[in-house]
Amino acid sequence: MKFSSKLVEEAVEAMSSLPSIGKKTALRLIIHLIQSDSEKSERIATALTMLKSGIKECANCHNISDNEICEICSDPRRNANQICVVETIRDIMAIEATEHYQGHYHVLGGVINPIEGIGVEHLKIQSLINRVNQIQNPELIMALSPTIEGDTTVYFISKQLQNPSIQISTIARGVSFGGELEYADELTLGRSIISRVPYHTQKY
Amino acid sequence: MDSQLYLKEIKLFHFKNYGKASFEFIDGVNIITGLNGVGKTNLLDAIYILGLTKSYFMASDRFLVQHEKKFYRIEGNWIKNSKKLKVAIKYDVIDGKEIDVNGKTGIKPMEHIGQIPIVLISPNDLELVSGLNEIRRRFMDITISQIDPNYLENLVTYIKVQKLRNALLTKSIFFDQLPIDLLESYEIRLVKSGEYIYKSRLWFLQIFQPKFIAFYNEISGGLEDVSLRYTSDLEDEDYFELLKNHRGKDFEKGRTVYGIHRDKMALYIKGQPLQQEASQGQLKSFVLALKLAQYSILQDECKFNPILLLDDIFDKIDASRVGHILSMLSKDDFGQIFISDTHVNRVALLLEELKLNVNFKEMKIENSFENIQIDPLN
Repeated sequence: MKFSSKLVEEAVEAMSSLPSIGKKTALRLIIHLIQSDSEKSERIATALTMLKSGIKECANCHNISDNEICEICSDPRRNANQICVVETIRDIMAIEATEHYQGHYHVLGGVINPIEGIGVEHLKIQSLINRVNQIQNPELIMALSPTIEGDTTVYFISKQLQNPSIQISTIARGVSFGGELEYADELTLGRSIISRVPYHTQKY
Repeated sequence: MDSQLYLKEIKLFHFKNYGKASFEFIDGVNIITGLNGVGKTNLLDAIYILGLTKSYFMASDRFLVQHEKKFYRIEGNWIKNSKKLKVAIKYDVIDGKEIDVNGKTGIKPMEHIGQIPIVLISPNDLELVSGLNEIRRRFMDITISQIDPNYLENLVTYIKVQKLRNALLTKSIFFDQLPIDLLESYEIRLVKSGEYIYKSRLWFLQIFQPKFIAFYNEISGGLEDVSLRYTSDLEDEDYFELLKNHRGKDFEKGRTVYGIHRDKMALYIKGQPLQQEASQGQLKSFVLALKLAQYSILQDECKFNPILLLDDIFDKIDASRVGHILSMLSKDDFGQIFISDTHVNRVALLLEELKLNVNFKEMKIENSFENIQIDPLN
Protein backbone atom coordinates (compact mmCIF):
# COMPACT_ATOMS: atom_id res chain seq x y z
CA MET A 1 0.00 0.00 0.00
CA LYS A 2 1.35 3.45 -0.95
CA PHE A 3 0.52 6.58 0.99
CA SER A 4 0.76 10.24 0.06
CA SER A 5 1.60 11.09 3.65
CA LYS A 6 4.21 9.75 6.05
CA LEU A 7 1.85 10.61 8.94
CA VAL A 8 -0.90 8.44 7.52
CA GLU A 9 1.54 5.66 6.83
CA GLU A 10 2.77 5.63 10.42
CA ALA A 11 -0.80 5.74 11.80
CA VAL A 12 -1.87 2.85 9.58
CA GLU A 13 1.19 0.83 10.55
CA ALA A 14 0.49 1.41 14.23
CA MET A 15 -3.20 0.57 13.97
CA SER A 16 -2.67 -2.57 11.92
CA SER A 17 -0.34 -3.96 14.58
CA LEU A 18 -3.49 -4.77 16.58
CA PRO A 19 -4.94 -8.27 16.37
CA SER A 20 -7.62 -8.85 13.73
CA ILE A 21 -6.95 -5.44 12.11
CA GLY A 22 -5.44 -5.58 8.66
CA LYS A 23 -4.01 -2.76 6.56
CA LYS A 24 -7.31 -1.98 4.84
CA THR A 25 -9.34 -1.77 8.05
CA ALA A 26 -6.60 0.34 9.61
CA LEU A 27 -6.69 2.75 6.68
CA ARG A 28 -10.47 3.05 6.93
CA LEU A 29 -10.23 3.90 10.64
CA ILE A 30 -7.44 6.43 10.07
CA ILE A 31 -9.33 8.19 7.26
CA HIS A 32 -12.35 8.28 9.52
CA LEU A 33 -10.28 9.98 12.21
CA ILE A 34 -8.78 12.47 9.74
CA GLN A 35 -12.25 13.49 8.65
CA SER A 36 -13.61 13.71 12.22
CA ASP A 37 -13.16 16.43 14.85
CA SER A 38 -9.80 16.47 16.51
CA GLU A 39 -11.58 15.85 19.85
CA LYS A 40 -12.32 12.32 18.78
CA SER A 41 -8.67 11.46 18.13
CA GLU A 42 -7.60 13.20 21.34
CA ARG A 43 -10.12 11.25 23.39
CA ILE A 44 -8.93 7.95 21.95
CA ALA A 45 -5.28 8.88 22.41
CA THR A 46 -5.82 9.98 26.03
CA ALA A 47 -7.87 6.91 26.88
CA LEU A 48 -5.16 4.63 25.53
CA THR A 49 -2.33 6.47 27.29
CA MET A 50 -4.23 6.50 30.58
CA LEU A 51 -5.09 2.85 30.15
CA LYS A 52 -1.52 1.72 29.87
CA SER A 53 -0.17 3.89 32.67
CA GLY A 54 -3.11 3.38 35.02
CA ILE A 55 -3.99 -0.28 34.63
CA LYS A 56 -2.77 -2.65 37.31
CA GLU A 57 -2.79 -6.36 37.89
CA CYS A 58 -4.72 -7.41 41.00
CA ALA A 59 -2.13 -8.60 43.56
CA ASN A 60 -4.54 -11.26 44.70
CA CYS A 61 -6.07 -12.86 41.60
CA HIS A 62 -4.06 -11.30 38.70
CA ASN A 63 -7.19 -9.91 37.07
CA ILE A 64 -6.89 -6.45 35.49
CA SER A 65 -7.72 -3.72 37.97
CA ASP A 66 -7.65 0.01 38.64
CA ASN A 67 -6.38 -0.55 42.17
CA GLU A 68 -3.94 -2.87 43.93
CA ILE A 69 -6.82 -5.24 44.63
CA CYS A 70 -9.51 -5.66 41.99
CA GLU A 71 -13.23 -4.98 42.46
CA ILE A 72 -14.10 -8.66 42.63
CA CYS A 73 -11.53 -9.44 45.34
CA SER A 74 -12.51 -6.40 47.40
CA ASP A 75 -16.25 -7.05 47.19
CA PRO A 76 -17.30 -8.11 50.75
CA ARG A 77 -20.43 -9.85 49.42
CA ARG A 78 -18.40 -12.38 47.48
CA ASN A 79 -17.25 -15.67 48.96
CA ALA A 80 -13.49 -15.47 49.45
CA ASN A 81 -13.18 -19.19 50.25
CA GLN A 82 -14.23 -20.14 46.75
CA ILE A 83 -11.63 -19.66 44.02
CA CYS A 84 -12.36 -20.26 40.38
CA VAL A 85 -9.12 -20.95 38.49
CA VAL A 86 -9.11 -19.68 34.90
CA GLU A 87 -6.59 -19.27 32.10
CA THR A 88 -7.15 -15.65 31.07
CA ILE A 89 -9.00 -12.51 32.14
CA ARG A 90 -11.37 -13.10 29.25
CA ASP A 91 -12.54 -16.25 31.02
CA ILE A 92 -13.45 -14.15 34.09
CA MET A 93 -15.57 -11.91 31.92
CA ALA A 94 -17.32 -14.93 30.42
CA ILE A 95 -18.09 -16.44 33.83
CA GLU A 96 -19.14 -13.08 35.28
CA ALA A 97 -21.57 -12.64 32.42
CA THR A 98 -23.39 -15.79 33.56
CA GLU A 99 -24.15 -14.11 36.97
CA HIS A 100 -24.02 -17.58 38.52
CA TYR A 101 -20.81 -17.25 40.42
CA GLN A 102 -20.22 -15.32 43.62
CA GLY A 103 -16.71 -16.38 44.59
CA HIS A 104 -13.24 -15.16 43.75
CA TYR A 105 -11.00 -15.92 40.77
CA HIS A 106 -7.41 -16.77 40.01
CA VAL A 107 -5.90 -16.06 36.59
CA LEU A 108 -3.12 -18.52 35.73
CA GLY A 109 -2.13 -16.78 32.51
CA GLY A 110 -2.32 -19.98 30.46
CA VAL A 111 -1.81 -23.73 30.86
CA ILE A 112 1.36 -25.77 31.12
CA ASN A 113 2.67 -26.59 27.65
CA PRO A 114 6.34 -27.57 27.33
CA ILE A 115 6.05 -27.63 23.54
CA GLU A 116 5.18 -23.92 23.56
CA GLY A 117 7.78 -23.33 26.24
CA ILE A 118 5.19 -22.53 28.93
CA GLY A 119 6.41 -24.04 32.18
CA VAL A 120 5.10 -23.94 35.74
CA GLU A 121 7.30 -20.92 36.46
CA HIS A 122 5.58 -18.87 33.74
CA LEU A 123 2.16 -19.29 35.31
CA LYS A 124 0.66 -17.96 38.54
CA ILE A 125 0.63 -21.40 40.13
CA GLN A 126 2.82 -20.66 43.16
CA SER A 127 0.74 -17.59 44.00
CA LEU A 128 -2.39 -19.76 43.83
CA ILE A 129 -0.88 -22.24 46.28
CA ASN A 130 0.10 -19.42 48.64
CA ARG A 131 -3.42 -18.02 48.42
CA VAL A 132 -5.08 -21.35 49.09
CA ASN A 133 -2.84 -21.99 52.10
CA GLN A 134 -4.09 -18.81 53.75
CA ILE A 135 -7.75 -19.70 53.42
CA GLN A 136 -9.73 -21.89 55.79
CA ASN A 137 -11.76 -24.62 54.05
CA PRO A 138 -10.91 -23.45 50.55
CA GLU A 139 -12.82 -24.62 47.52
CA LEU A 140 -11.17 -24.62 44.09
CA ILE A 141 -13.19 -24.69 40.91
CA MET A 142 -11.01 -25.54 37.93
CA ALA A 143 -12.39 -23.80 34.86
CA LEU A 144 -9.59 -24.57 32.38
CA SER A 145 -9.91 -25.60 28.74
CA PRO A 146 -11.03 -29.20 28.22
CA THR A 147 -7.76 -30.10 26.50
CA ILE A 148 -4.88 -32.39 27.37
CA GLU A 149 -2.86 -29.32 28.44
CA GLY A 150 -5.74 -28.05 30.59
CA ASP A 151 -6.29 -31.46 32.20
CA THR A 152 -2.62 -32.00 33.03
CA THR A 153 -2.43 -28.50 34.53
CA VAL A 154 -5.40 -29.34 36.77
CA TYR A 155 -3.71 -32.59 37.80
CA PHE A 156 -0.44 -30.82 38.52
CA ILE A 157 -2.07 -28.12 40.66
CA SER A 158 -4.08 -30.65 42.63
CA LYS A 159 -0.87 -32.62 43.27
CA GLN A 160 0.68 -29.48 44.78
CA LEU A 161 -2.24 -29.00 47.16
CA GLN A 162 -1.96 -31.91 49.51
CA ASN A 163 -4.18 -30.42 52.20
CA PRO A 164 -7.17 -32.79 52.50
CA SER A 165 -9.50 -29.99 53.61
CA ILE A 166 -9.34 -28.48 50.10
CA GLN A 167 -12.30 -29.23 47.91
CA ILE A 168 -11.38 -29.34 44.23
CA SER A 169 -13.86 -29.58 41.41
CA THR A 170 -13.77 -29.07 37.65
CA ILE A 171 -16.51 -27.46 35.61
CA ALA A 172 -18.89 -29.93 33.97
CA ARG A 173 -18.39 -30.82 30.33
CA GLY A 174 -21.01 -32.18 28.07
CA VAL A 175 -24.17 -31.63 26.13
CA SER A 176 -25.00 -27.96 25.85
CA PHE A 177 -28.10 -26.57 27.49
CA GLY A 178 -31.11 -26.58 25.20
CA GLY A 179 -29.23 -28.81 22.79
CA GLU A 180 -30.68 -32.01 21.46
CA LEU A 181 -28.87 -35.25 22.15
CA GLU A 182 -29.29 -36.37 18.57
CA TYR A 183 -27.09 -33.52 17.38
CA ALA A 184 -24.39 -33.71 20.05
CA ASP A 185 -21.13 -35.10 18.75
CA GLU A 186 -20.30 -38.60 19.93
CA LEU A 187 -17.21 -37.54 21.85
CA THR A 188 -19.09 -35.02 23.97
CA LEU A 189 -22.07 -37.29 24.44
CA GLY A 190 -19.80 -40.16 25.46
CA ARG A 191 -18.10 -37.97 28.06
CA SER A 192 -21.46 -36.79 29.35
CA ILE A 193 -22.52 -40.38 29.93
CA ILE A 194 -19.27 -41.30 31.67
CA SER A 195 -19.27 -38.23 33.93
CA ARG A 196 -23.01 -38.27 34.61
CA VAL A 197 -24.22 -36.46 37.74
CA PRO A 198 -26.68 -37.61 40.44
CA TYR A 199 -30.14 -36.23 39.90
CA HIS A 200 -31.56 -33.95 42.60
CA THR A 201 -35.14 -32.85 42.40
CA GLN A 202 -34.30 -29.80 44.52
CA LYS A 203 -31.39 -28.78 42.38
CA TYR A 204 -32.85 -25.77 40.65
CA MET B 1 -25.28 -58.67 -4.75
CA ASP B 2 -27.03 -56.06 -2.68
CA SER B 3 -24.75 -54.13 -0.39
CA GLN B 4 -25.75 -52.05 2.55
CA LEU B 5 -23.00 -49.62 1.59
CA TYR B 6 -21.84 -48.52 -1.82
CA LEU B 7 -20.51 -45.53 -3.68
CA LYS B 8 -22.83 -44.29 -6.41
CA GLU B 9 -20.89 -41.32 -7.66
CA ILE B 10 -17.66 -39.49 -7.00
CA LYS B 11 -16.70 -35.96 -8.02
CA LEU B 12 -13.14 -34.74 -8.02
CA PHE B 13 -11.88 -31.17 -8.20
CA HIS B 14 -8.21 -30.33 -8.54
CA PHE B 15 -7.31 -33.73 -7.16
CA LYS B 16 -3.98 -35.01 -8.46
CA ASN B 17 -4.29 -35.21 -12.26
CA TYR B 18 -8.05 -34.59 -12.24
CA GLY B 19 -9.04 -30.98 -12.88
CA LYS B 20 -12.72 -31.70 -12.74
CA ALA B 21 -14.15 -35.15 -13.12
CA SER B 22 -17.01 -37.32 -12.00
CA PHE B 23 -17.56 -41.07 -12.14
CA GLU B 24 -20.57 -43.25 -11.56
CA PHE B 25 -20.30 -46.72 -10.15
CA ILE B 26 -22.45 -49.78 -9.73
CA ASP B 27 -23.15 -51.77 -6.60
CA GLY B 28 -20.90 -54.66 -7.60
CA VAL B 29 -17.50 -54.96 -9.21
CA ASN B 30 -16.22 -51.77 -10.86
CA ILE B 31 -13.28 -52.32 -13.18
CA ILE B 32 -11.23 -49.26 -13.98
CA THR B 33 -8.87 -49.65 -16.88
CA GLY B 34 -6.46 -47.35 -18.63
CA LEU B 35 -2.79 -46.92 -19.37
CA ASN B 36 -0.21 -46.14 -16.72
CA GLY B 37 -0.43 -42.56 -15.55
CA VAL B 38 -4.04 -41.82 -16.45
CA GLY B 39 -5.00 -41.68 -12.77
CA LYS B 40 -6.46 -45.08 -11.88
CA THR B 41 -4.67 -45.22 -8.54
CA ASN B 42 -5.60 -41.60 -7.82
CA LEU B 43 -9.25 -42.46 -8.29
CA LEU B 44 -8.99 -45.36 -5.84
CA ASP B 45 -7.10 -43.15 -3.40
CA ALA B 46 -9.88 -40.54 -3.61
CA ILE B 47 -12.40 -43.22 -2.62
CA TYR B 48 -10.09 -44.24 0.22
CA ILE B 49 -9.91 -40.63 1.44
CA LEU B 50 -13.71 -40.44 1.55
CA GLY B 51 -13.63 -43.20 4.17
CA LEU B 52 -10.38 -42.72 6.05
CA THR B 53 -9.97 -38.92 5.55
CA LYS B 54 -6.32 -39.51 4.63
CA SER B 55 -4.53 -40.73 1.54
CA TYR B 56 -3.29 -44.30 1.41
CA PHE B 57 -0.22 -43.29 -0.54
CA MET B 58 0.70 -39.74 0.43
CA ALA B 59 1.63 -38.57 3.91
CA SER B 60 0.80 -34.96 3.13
CA ASP B 61 -2.36 -33.63 1.52
CA ARG B 62 -0.35 -30.89 -0.13
CA PHE B 63 0.88 -33.38 -2.71
CA LEU B 64 -2.66 -34.38 -3.60
CA VAL B 65 -3.59 -30.94 -4.85
CA GLN B 66 -3.40 -30.60 -8.60
CA HIS B 67 -0.30 -28.83 -9.84
CA GLU B 68 -0.48 -25.05 -9.33
CA LYS B 69 -3.91 -25.24 -7.67
CA LYS B 70 -4.68 -24.26 -4.10
CA PHE B 71 -7.20 -26.85 -2.99
CA TYR B 72 -8.72 -30.19 -3.77
CA ARG B 73 -12.24 -31.40 -3.14
CA ILE B 74 -13.64 -34.91 -3.26
CA GLU B 75 -17.36 -35.51 -3.09
CA GLY B 76 -18.86 -38.93 -2.69
CA ASN B 77 -22.50 -39.85 -2.97
CA TRP B 78 -22.93 -43.07 -1.05
CA ILE B 79 -25.89 -45.26 -0.29
CA LYS B 80 -25.78 -46.68 3.22
CA ASN B 81 -28.66 -48.78 4.55
CA SER B 82 -30.81 -47.44 1.67
CA LYS B 83 -30.19 -43.86 2.78
CA LYS B 84 -28.12 -41.22 1.03
CA LEU B 85 -24.78 -40.44 2.60
CA LYS B 86 -22.96 -37.49 1.12
CA VAL B 87 -19.33 -37.06 2.13
CA ALA B 88 -17.16 -34.16 1.01
CA ILE B 89 -13.50 -33.82 1.88
CA LYS B 90 -11.88 -30.52 1.07
CA TYR B 91 -8.28 -29.61 1.57
CA ASP B 92 -7.04 -26.07 1.19
CA VAL B 93 -3.31 -25.36 1.17
CA ILE B 94 -3.87 -22.53 3.66
CA ASP B 95 -7.01 -23.43 5.60
CA GLY B 96 -6.33 -27.15 5.92
CA LYS B 97 -8.82 -29.97 5.72
CA GLU B 98 -12.55 -29.94 6.17
CA ILE B 99 -14.91 -32.88 6.34
CA ASP B 100 -18.60 -32.44 5.55
CA VAL B 101 -21.13 -35.23 6.02
CA ASN B 102 -24.67 -34.81 4.71
CA GLY B 103 -24.21 -31.06 4.60
CA LYS B 104 -22.93 -30.79 8.17
CA THR B 105 -19.56 -29.07 8.18
CA GLY B 106 -16.61 -29.39 10.49
CA ILE B 107 -16.88 -33.12 11.19
CA LYS B 108 -13.87 -34.45 13.10
CA PRO B 109 -11.94 -37.35 11.53
CA MET B 110 -12.67 -39.29 14.71
CA GLU B 111 -16.42 -38.97 14.14
CA HIS B 112 -16.21 -40.00 10.52
CA ILE B 113 -13.68 -42.84 10.40
CA GLY B 114 -15.51 -46.15 10.62
CA GLN B 115 -18.64 -44.88 8.86
CA ILE B 116 -17.26 -46.14 5.55
CA PRO B 117 -14.94 -49.07 6.27
CA ILE B 118 -12.41 -49.57 3.47
CA VAL B 119 -9.64 -52.02 2.64
CA LEU B 120 -7.14 -51.12 -0.07
CA ILE B 121 -4.76 -53.65 -1.60
CA SER B 122 -1.91 -52.20 -3.61
CA PRO B 123 1.33 -53.44 -5.19
CA ASN B 124 3.29 -51.44 -2.58
CA ASP B 125 1.89 -53.50 0.25
CA LEU B 126 4.91 -55.80 0.40
CA GLU B 127 6.22 -53.20 2.86
CA LEU B 128 3.67 -54.53 5.30
CA VAL B 129 5.67 -57.73 5.73
CA SER B 130 9.19 -56.62 4.79
CA GLY B 131 9.18 -53.08 6.16
CA LEU B 132 9.57 -51.56 9.60
CA ASN B 133 7.43 -52.35 12.61
CA GLU B 134 5.85 -48.95 12.33
CA ILE B 135 4.05 -50.05 9.17
CA ARG B 136 2.46 -53.05 10.89
CA ARG B 137 1.48 -50.86 13.87
CA ARG B 138 -0.23 -48.50 11.46
CA PHE B 139 -1.99 -51.47 9.91
CA MET B 140 -3.38 -52.43 13.34
CA ASP B 141 -4.28 -48.80 14.05
CA ILE B 142 -6.13 -48.26 10.78
CA THR B 143 -8.07 -51.48 11.24
CA ILE B 144 -9.04 -50.99 14.89
CA SER B 145 -9.85 -47.29 14.37
CA GLN B 146 -12.48 -48.24 11.82
CA ILE B 147 -14.08 -50.54 14.38
CA ASP B 148 -13.76 -48.48 17.56
CA PRO B 149 -13.75 -44.65 17.55
CA ASN B 150 -12.53 -44.63 21.16
CA TYR B 151 -9.37 -46.37 19.98
CA LEU B 152 -8.55 -43.51 17.64
CA GLU B 153 -9.28 -40.96 20.34
CA ASN B 154 -6.93 -42.69 22.75
CA LEU B 155 -4.28 -42.98 20.09
CA VAL B 156 -4.46 -39.25 19.31
CA THR B 157 -4.31 -38.44 23.03
CA TYR B 158 -1.38 -40.79 23.56
CA ILE B 159 0.65 -39.22 20.75
CA LYS B 160 -0.09 -35.71 21.98
CA VAL B 161 0.72 -36.41 25.64
CA GLN B 162 3.88 -38.20 24.61
CA LYS B 163 4.98 -35.11 22.68
CA LEU B 164 4.30 -32.92 25.72
CA ARG B 165 6.20 -35.26 28.04
CA ASN B 166 9.12 -35.43 25.59
CA ALA B 167 9.23 -31.64 25.36
CA LEU B 168 9.29 -31.46 29.15
CA LEU B 169 12.11 -34.02 29.29
CA THR B 170 14.27 -32.03 26.87
CA LYS B 171 13.67 -28.84 28.87
CA SER B 172 14.35 -30.53 32.21
CA ILE B 173 18.03 -29.92 31.63
CA PHE B 174 17.46 -26.39 32.95
CA PHE B 175 16.05 -27.61 36.27
CA ASP B 176 18.04 -28.68 39.33
CA GLN B 177 16.02 -31.86 39.53
CA LEU B 178 13.43 -33.67 37.44
CA PRO B 179 9.98 -32.08 37.65
CA ILE B 180 8.44 -35.24 39.11
CA ASP B 181 4.90 -33.96 39.69
CA LEU B 182 4.65 -32.50 36.25
CA LEU B 183 6.00 -35.67 34.63
CA GLU B 184 3.45 -37.61 36.63
CA SER B 185 0.58 -35.48 35.36
CA TYR B 186 1.53 -36.56 31.83
CA GLU B 187 2.21 -40.14 32.83
CA ILE B 188 -1.25 -40.80 34.24
CA ARG B 189 -2.70 -39.71 30.90
CA LEU B 190 -0.23 -41.87 28.99
CA VAL B 191 -1.15 -44.85 31.17
CA LYS B 192 -4.88 -44.37 30.63
CA SER B 193 -4.62 -44.12 26.84
CA GLY B 194 -1.74 -46.58 26.55
CA GLU B 195 -3.57 -49.31 28.42
CA TYR B 196 -6.67 -48.83 26.30
CA ILE B 197 -4.60 -49.17 23.13
CA TYR B 198 -2.73 -52.21 24.50
CA LYS B 199 -5.94 -54.02 25.42
CA SER B 200 -7.50 -53.17 22.06
CA ARG B 201 -4.50 -54.49 20.12
CA LEU B 202 -4.50 -57.63 22.23
CA TRP B 203 -8.17 -58.17 21.46
CA PHE B 204 -7.55 -57.43 17.81
CA LEU B 205 -4.75 -59.99 17.47
CA GLN B 206 -6.88 -62.61 19.14
CA ILE B 207 -9.67 -62.43 16.59
CA PHE B 208 -7.40 -61.48 13.68
CA GLN B 209 -4.97 -64.39 13.98
CA PRO B 210 -7.37 -67.27 13.15
CA LYS B 211 -8.79 -65.32 10.21
CA PHE B 212 -5.32 -64.61 8.91
CA ILE B 213 -4.23 -68.26 9.15
CA ALA B 214 -7.37 -69.43 7.36
CA PHE B 215 -6.86 -66.97 4.49
CA TYR B 216 -3.18 -67.79 4.20
CA ASN B 217 -3.86 -71.49 3.85
CA GLU B 218 -6.62 -70.82 1.37
CA ILE B 219 -4.32 -68.68 -0.78
CA SER B 220 -1.27 -70.92 -0.55
CA GLY B 221 -3.41 -74.00 -0.93
CA GLY B 222 -1.62 -75.84 1.83
CA LEU B 223 -1.25 -76.08 5.55
CA GLU B 224 1.78 -74.05 6.44
CA ASP B 225 2.57 -73.09 10.00
CA VAL B 226 2.18 -69.31 9.98
CA SER B 227 1.52 -67.02 12.92
CA LEU B 228 1.47 -63.45 14.18
CA ARG B 229 2.86 -62.46 17.56
CA TYR B 230 2.04 -59.25 19.34
CA THR B 231 4.52 -57.95 21.88
CA SER B 232 4.36 -54.84 23.99
CA ASP B 233 6.25 -53.12 26.82
CA LEU B 234 2.98 -53.21 28.70
CA GLU B 235 2.62 -56.99 28.82
CA ASP B 236 4.76 -57.81 31.88
CA GLU B 237 4.89 -54.62 33.84
CA ASP B 238 2.51 -52.03 35.19
CA TYR B 239 2.84 -49.16 32.69
CA PHE B 240 2.88 -46.42 35.29
CA GLU B 241 5.68 -48.17 37.22
CA LEU B 242 7.55 -48.65 33.96
CA LEU B 243 7.40 -44.93 33.16
CA LYS B 244 8.21 -43.94 36.72
CA ASN B 245 11.24 -46.24 36.95
CA HIS B 246 12.73 -44.98 33.71
CA ARG B 247 12.38 -41.23 34.17
CA GLY B 248 16.16 -40.96 34.45
CA LYS B 249 16.75 -42.91 31.26
CA ASP B 250 14.02 -40.96 29.47
CA PHE B 251 15.65 -37.71 30.59
CA GLU B 252 19.02 -38.82 29.18
CA LYS B 253 17.46 -39.74 25.85
CA GLY B 254 15.16 -36.73 25.85
CA ARG B 255 12.15 -38.86 25.00
CA THR B 256 9.72 -41.42 26.38
CA VAL B 257 11.38 -44.75 25.69
CA TYR B 258 8.77 -47.29 26.78
CA GLY B 259 5.19 -47.53 25.63
CA ILE B 260 2.76 -48.75 23.01
CA HIS B 261 4.62 -46.72 20.38
CA ARG B 262 7.14 -49.58 20.40
CA ASP B 263 4.61 -52.41 20.09
CA LYS B 264 5.44 -55.11 17.59
CA MET B 265 3.38 -57.36 15.42
CA ALA B 266 5.92 -59.96 14.35
CA LEU B 267 5.30 -62.43 11.54
CA TYR B 268 6.42 -66.06 11.63
CA ILE B 269 6.53 -68.96 9.24
CA LYS B 270 7.38 -72.43 10.52
CA GLY B 271 8.30 -70.79 13.81
CA GLN B 272 10.93 -68.56 12.18
CA PRO B 273 10.76 -64.81 11.53
CA LEU B 274 9.17 -64.31 8.14
CA GLN B 275 11.74 -61.84 6.79
CA GLN B 276 14.48 -64.45 7.12
CA GLU B 277 12.65 -67.51 5.95
CA ALA B 278 10.03 -66.70 3.41
CA SER B 279 10.18 -66.90 -0.36
CA GLN B 280 8.84 -64.07 -2.51
CA GLY B 281 5.69 -66.07 -3.16
CA GLN B 282 5.13 -66.68 0.54
CA LEU B 283 5.60 -62.98 1.27
CA LYS B 284 2.95 -62.11 -1.30
CA SER B 285 0.57 -64.66 0.16
CA PHE B 286 1.23 -63.18 3.60
CA VAL B 287 0.34 -59.67 2.47
CA LEU B 288 -2.80 -60.84 0.78
CA ALA B 289 -3.87 -62.90 3.79
CA LEU B 290 -3.30 -59.92 6.11
CA LYS B 291 -5.45 -57.73 3.88
CA LEU B 292 -8.24 -60.24 3.44
CA ALA B 293 -8.28 -60.88 7.19
CA GLN B 294 -8.51 -57.10 7.63
CA TYR B 295 -11.52 -57.11 5.32
CA SER B 296 -13.10 -59.99 7.21
CA ILE B 297 -12.64 -58.43 10.65
CA LEU B 298 -14.15 -55.14 9.47
CA GLN B 299 -17.02 -57.08 7.92
CA ASP B 300 -17.71 -58.85 11.22
CA GLU B 301 -17.32 -55.88 13.50
CA CYS B 302 -18.96 -53.18 11.37
CA LYS B 303 -21.87 -55.52 10.60
CA PHE B 304 -21.77 -54.76 6.88
CA ASN B 305 -19.49 -55.25 3.91
CA PRO B 306 -16.55 -52.85 3.64
CA ILE B 307 -15.47 -51.29 0.36
CA LEU B 308 -12.63 -53.18 -1.30
CA LEU B 309 -10.13 -51.34 -3.48
CA LEU B 310 -7.77 -53.49 -5.52
CA ASP B 311 -5.11 -51.33 -7.09
CA ASP B 312 -3.26 -52.77 -10.04
CA ILE B 313 -3.20 -56.23 -8.51
CA PHE B 314 -1.89 -57.94 -11.65
CA ASP B 315 1.29 -55.92 -11.26
CA LYS B 316 2.61 -57.96 -8.34
CA ILE B 317 0.23 -60.86 -8.10
CA ASP B 318 0.06 -63.61 -10.70
CA ALA B 319 -3.15 -64.43 -12.54
CA SER B 320 -3.84 -67.60 -10.57
CA ARG B 321 -3.76 -65.71 -7.26
CA VAL B 322 -5.94 -62.95 -8.67
CA GLY B 323 -8.43 -65.56 -9.86
CA HIS B 324 -8.29 -67.02 -6.40
CA ILE B 325 -9.08 -63.66 -4.80
CA LEU B 326 -11.91 -62.99 -7.20
CA SER B 327 -13.58 -66.31 -6.60
CA MET B 328 -13.16 -65.84 -2.86
CA LEU B 329 -14.71 -62.41 -3.15
CA SER B 330 -17.86 -63.65 -4.79
CA LYS B 331 -18.16 -66.63 -2.48
CA ASP B 332 -17.91 -64.66 0.70
CA ASP B 333 -20.63 -62.14 -0.08
CA PHE B 334 -18.40 -59.15 -0.60
CA GLY B 335 -19.64 -55.61 -0.91
CA GLN B 336 -18.71 -53.07 -3.52
CA ILE B 337 -15.35 -53.67 -5.20
CA PHE B 338 -13.10 -51.44 -7.29
CA ILE B 339 -10.37 -53.01 -9.40
CA SER B 340 -7.86 -51.07 -11.45
CA ASP B 341 -5.96 -52.71 -14.29
CA THR B 342 -3.80 -51.57 -17.17
CA HIS B 343 -5.33 -54.12 -19.56
CA VAL B 344 -8.74 -53.54 -21.00
CA ASN B 345 -11.01 -56.55 -20.57
CA ARG B 346 -8.54 -58.70 -18.60
CA VAL B 347 -10.46 -58.67 -15.30
CA ALA B 348 -13.80 -58.88 -17.08
CA LEU B 349 -12.68 -61.98 -19.01
CA LEU B 350 -11.39 -63.55 -15.84
CA LEU B 351 -14.70 -62.90 -14.10
CA GLU B 352 -16.56 -64.52 -17.00
CA GLU B 353 -14.15 -67.43 -17.12
CA LEU B 354 -14.65 -68.09 -13.43
CA LYS B 355 -18.44 -67.98 -14.00
CA LEU B 356 -18.87 -65.82 -10.95
CA ASN B 357 -22.27 -64.56 -10.09
CA VAL B 358 -21.37 -60.88 -9.87
CA ASN B 359 -22.43 -57.67 -11.54
CA PHE B 360 -19.55 -55.86 -13.08
CA LYS B 361 -18.96 -52.72 -15.05
CA GLU B 362 -15.81 -51.76 -16.85
CA MET B 363 -14.88 -48.16 -17.43
CA LYS B 364 -11.88 -46.90 -19.30
CA ILE B 365 -10.07 -43.76 -18.33
CA GLU B 366 -8.75 -42.55 -21.67
CA ASN B 367 -6.56 -39.62 -21.05
CA SER B 368 -6.24 -37.58 -17.92
CA PHE B 369 -6.17 -34.34 -19.92
CA GLU B 370 -9.74 -34.81 -21.00
CA ASN B 371 -10.76 -34.39 -17.40
CA ILE B 372 -9.08 -31.06 -17.09
CA GLN B 373 -11.66 -28.51 -17.99
CA ILE B 374 -11.36 -24.78 -17.82
CA ASP B 375 -12.62 -23.97 -14.38
CA PRO B 376 -14.46 -20.65 -14.12
CA LEU B 377 -13.39 -20.39 -10.48
CA ASN B 378 -9.76 -20.15 -11.33
